[in-house]
Amino acid sequence: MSGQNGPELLRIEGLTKHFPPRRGFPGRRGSTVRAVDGVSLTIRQGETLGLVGESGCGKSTLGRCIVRLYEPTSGHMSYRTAEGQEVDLARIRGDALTRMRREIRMIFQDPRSSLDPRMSVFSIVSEPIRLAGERRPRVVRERVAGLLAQVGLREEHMDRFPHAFSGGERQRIGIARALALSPRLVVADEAVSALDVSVQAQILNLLQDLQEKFGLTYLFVSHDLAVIEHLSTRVAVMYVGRLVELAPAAAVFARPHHPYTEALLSAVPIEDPAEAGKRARIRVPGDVADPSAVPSGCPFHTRCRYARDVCRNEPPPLRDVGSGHLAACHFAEELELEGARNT
Amino acid sequence: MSEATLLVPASVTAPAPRRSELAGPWRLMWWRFCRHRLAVAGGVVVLLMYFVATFAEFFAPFPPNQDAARYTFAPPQALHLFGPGWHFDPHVEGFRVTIDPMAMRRVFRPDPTQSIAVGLFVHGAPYRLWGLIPGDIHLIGPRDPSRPMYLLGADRLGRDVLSRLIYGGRVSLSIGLVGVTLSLILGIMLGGLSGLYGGWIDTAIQRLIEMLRSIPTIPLWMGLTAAIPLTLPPLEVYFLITIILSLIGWTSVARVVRGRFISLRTEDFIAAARLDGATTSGIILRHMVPNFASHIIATVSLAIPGMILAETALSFLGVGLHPPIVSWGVMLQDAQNIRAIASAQWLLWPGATVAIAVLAFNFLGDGLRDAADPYDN
Amino acid sequence: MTTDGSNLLKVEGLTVEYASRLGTVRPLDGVSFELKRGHTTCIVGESGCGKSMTARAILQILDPPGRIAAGRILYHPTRGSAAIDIATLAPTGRHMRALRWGEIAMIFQEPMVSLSPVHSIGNQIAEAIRLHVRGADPRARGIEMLDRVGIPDAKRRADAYPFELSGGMRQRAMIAMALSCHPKLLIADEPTTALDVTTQANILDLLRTLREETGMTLLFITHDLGVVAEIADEVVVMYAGHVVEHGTVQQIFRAPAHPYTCALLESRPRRRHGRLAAIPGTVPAPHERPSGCVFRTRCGIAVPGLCDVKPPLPVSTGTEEHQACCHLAGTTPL
Repeated sequence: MSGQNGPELLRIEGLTKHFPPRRGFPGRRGSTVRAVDGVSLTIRQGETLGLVGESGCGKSTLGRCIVRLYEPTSGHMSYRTAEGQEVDLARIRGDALTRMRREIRMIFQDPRSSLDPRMSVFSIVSEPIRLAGERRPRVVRERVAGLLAQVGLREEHMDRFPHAFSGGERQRIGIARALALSPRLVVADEAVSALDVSVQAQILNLLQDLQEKFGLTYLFVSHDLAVIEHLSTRVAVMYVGRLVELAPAAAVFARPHHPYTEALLSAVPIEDPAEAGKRARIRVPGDVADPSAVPSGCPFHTRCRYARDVCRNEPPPLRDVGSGHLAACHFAEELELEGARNT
Repeated sequence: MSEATLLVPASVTAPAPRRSELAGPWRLMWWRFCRHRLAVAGGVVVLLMYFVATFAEFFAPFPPNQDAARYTFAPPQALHLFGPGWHFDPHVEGFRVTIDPMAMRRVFRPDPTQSIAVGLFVHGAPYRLWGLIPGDIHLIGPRDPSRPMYLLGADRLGRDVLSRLIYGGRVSLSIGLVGVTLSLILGIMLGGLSGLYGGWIDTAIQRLIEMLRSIPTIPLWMGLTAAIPLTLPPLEVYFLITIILSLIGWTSVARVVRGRFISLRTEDFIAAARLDGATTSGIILRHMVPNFASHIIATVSLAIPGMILAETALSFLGVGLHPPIVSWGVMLQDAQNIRAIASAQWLLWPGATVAIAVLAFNFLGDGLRDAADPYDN
Repeated sequence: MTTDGSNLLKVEGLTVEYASRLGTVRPLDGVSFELKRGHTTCIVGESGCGKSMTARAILQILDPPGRIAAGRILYHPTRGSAAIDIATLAPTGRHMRALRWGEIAMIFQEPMVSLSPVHSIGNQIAEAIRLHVRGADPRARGIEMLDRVGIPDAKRRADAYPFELSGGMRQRAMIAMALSCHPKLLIADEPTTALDVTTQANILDLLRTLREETGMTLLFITHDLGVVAEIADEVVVMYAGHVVEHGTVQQIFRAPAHPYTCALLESRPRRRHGRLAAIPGTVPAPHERPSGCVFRTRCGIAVPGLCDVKPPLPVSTGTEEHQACCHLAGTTPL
């Protein structure tokens, strides 16, 4: 897959986002929710970085911190602009932030709530164009028509309203809006999770086509491992706010180096009845850890079948365990973990 | 298992768009509203009432304060459409007045020999429409303006109840509108601040609202209106009363606005607007206001009857508007005695008009509220 | 797996309709399938296909104004017993109430919404037991069920409220509630869709184990083909209110006979990169279904003059139990 060795586009270092405890809520003492807890990763130009994890892992929060919908609690996000400058996304404000928001865009999950129900499709897609300073009506209209054509919609759809469209079509409108200012990095926050299977395939194809055509870089956030594997160049796995594994997609799925990744891959149902019966699934007890009550040491140690004393006491750092494959496990090199169960 | 990819089916032609696909959200709301027959009826009644109140000078047969000492407490005169011999001759029958020696009051009986011709678009007492445009045409009235025509009876000064009802409607209905406008402005501002910023602003405003709402309204209003000097001209009294009524009225609007702001704040399209580069005020004006406007319209139409009832209650108690202003509440003051209920029941007509107005507004408001939700398919 | 191959439930020509401003709408149109005793049958389809409505029709808990307009739901409590047509029973009548939960139970997708937030879970289970099982101690039985579904410290947890439990725990509590009266049929309506994948795996294992232990029949509704492959014995594929194909899970996955089933299997990403074979267009709304075959507007091999004229009847492809509703089934290799 292309883009694997492109130059660095975004380097995130030690990004943290904590939510303060909620006061006065019955039944909860209210502790800080450590949604993102010291995540460091790089996104290379032209690649698709798949960010995967279960609920509470912080993947959506991380995506929103990158576009500054949330203010990071601490950490740096070093972004290389189109002119070659390095800016810290975590620090910029005002005009600089507005300019960056044209280069880094977001596609949202819920097609029902990501489009203003009172605005026509034209207004929705043209809003970023207008706010960026382009006021000439004919130019704006042409650009909107062009964007809609890119995502597979027709010009007459411009004057209709979101309620007239299906979920898949609304996601297309959201994608058109995201592309309005020729971005370089697009954060897709569970962009296909709310769609039917057959429509998912259409949108995934569309995202791939657009990436090829416009040289886009994607941060693709999802909980669906099959989609992540299909689309991603590299995969980052998160668990309760921490990055536990980061490696090229093929490597992660063939031979993971973190027990959580192994458990995740094992839990995914195989779409082949003959295979489904063959290999025993690895059973992981309990439920996903709570980001407001993170276990000590390695956050996965309470459910990990390879856990030892050191796992309870010391949090493992994210380190290179061979050929650029990063994993945060004390025993990453020694464990022989199973990969995905598909053929 | 097949590896073939599906061809694009030749039969994928887009069907013609349905009407509801092309319509914007406001039109959809209008269609939904029109399906509620009761709400539409309420709307029609409300519009009719305001129309009559606007052109009160034209619709009322007589000026509101034209008294006639001879016809105090005269009963309503039935409107006959046909004279003897069945030819079209709208008229009312005059009175034969006798004095009851025991009770020392006038007794009115219809006198068929006195036929007072009634016509449409007759010349009557001159007026200035809204104080500006002079005229003297009345919709209905006696052809000879000096003859009595009391379609709904006369009050204790011989004034025509029907005319006073129409003029009174102008005051009562407009107080509702003006009061609600003030409440709207206050409510949107404070409710918006509360919902948008949260935190201590929200807490402060909400506690203020709760305090205001916990005070019993009638005593509060009585206390405030008692402070109005009696010598103040009627128009200024009117506006002061409106302001006093709005002091409590804004709280319900504020709560609705705050609720909508809070639920809208977390919607993805607001986040998308921020990412598009919109300023906070831009987001409020372009995204939030259109999305709660329909709820506000519904709330407002349900708040107006509250204002009308409040003014009626205050004036009825004697602490609101007072003569020479005519409102339905002021008219009801005259009905505060046993004589009204026993022998001059027509004095209670203002009560009926208040009830009709409030009911109509409630039906209208219910229909608007049901139509307002954009996600209701 | 104890199975005697007889049918526990047979749905024949089930049609649900309601009147709307746009005319009569049929969310379910002539749905027919069988549930074999002791087996797991999966109904799979996308949104709007009517799979949830089928489940609700079986339990007669359709939302008004929807109602069963035609068809039979034949229920055979034991092998060889006389069939009860559930469709003829009054939804709120005594018979239906005895059937519901006593013999046919259901678990739903969103446990937070389907469990009462103001009662403890022990209380809710006890209520079900009290209504259907005579002579049992409701509380003790409830705790026993909670333990059986794998809720740790069941005795203490029985007094917990739903909001105090995690998603997986709530779903387990819901399963305990459903199984507390030992039903013969358990209908599971997308029970794992809202759960994390590791939790989903645990819940699926639980359901499989319980089914084997109790010998009950499981009707599992889902849109996830992977889940179908994991637990189903038989599969019913639905599209826009119709059953388009049914057969054993091997037949459906190895040799799908209906273009929609084929397309669905092709459109999932499966370790092959490159473009996915997406199905063009979208699912038609219930009042805008095409004439003839309901899938023809999105089908790659639709034949004008044949597929748009009359709706296709089920055709056997290969074995008796594998049937597809397609005019071209068995003739064109897919």
